[in-house]
Amino acid sequence: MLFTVPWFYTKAPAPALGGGMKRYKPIIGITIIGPRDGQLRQVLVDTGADDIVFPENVAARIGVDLSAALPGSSHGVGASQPLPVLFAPVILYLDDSKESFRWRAVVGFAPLRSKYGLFGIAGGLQYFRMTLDVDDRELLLVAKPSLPVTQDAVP
Amino acid sequence: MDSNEFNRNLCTHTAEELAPYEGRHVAWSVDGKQILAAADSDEALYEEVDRLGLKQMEYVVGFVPRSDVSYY
Repeated sequence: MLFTVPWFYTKAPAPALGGGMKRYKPIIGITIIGPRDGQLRQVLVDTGADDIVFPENVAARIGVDLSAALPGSSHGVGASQPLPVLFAPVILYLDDSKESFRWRAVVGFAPLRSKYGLFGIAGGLQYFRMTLDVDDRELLLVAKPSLPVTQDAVP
Repeated sequence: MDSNEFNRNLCTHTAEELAPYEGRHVAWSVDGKQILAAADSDEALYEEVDRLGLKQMEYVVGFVPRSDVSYY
């Protein structure tokens, strides 16, 4: 799958961009599917994130019962204390218009500091060979045979 | 959703168009052409999309970053 990397404008020339005024972010759209419903969300592809994590209120929107979830702990950039995270199974779906993948994953639901969901390693990037080319605005995700694909309607 | 169509359309919005939404959680149309709802938090955004009667797969939950800060 080949995704276009979007940008957002900066208010003033950014020193680290040599005076450029576009911030490129590896953000893609993903569908997260729970027992009752699905939701479309922007996620930040983040090789520094150990897991795939969504804001905790997403769980209720898609019918994930967090009372049965597996508890964990997470530490975001800039946070002084670890935050609780609850892990539960979902189905994830990615589509670049030419190719699509639908697979099972155990993802975290947490009070995120990030404004986006995080598409991290466990359950996500671990199953893809990834190339990020910011200059050409391309994010390439090549699925590996280990991707636990499914056509099931619900997790 | 076609993530590429969404991202291509997202980049057609000018800084002026996005200025009112900077730092806000937004519900984009599925093609990325319009912002259907905006709020200061994810929770408030859900209240707004419910108030507007939007169905769950009719919008993309996202965020418009502020143009005057870097994000880590």
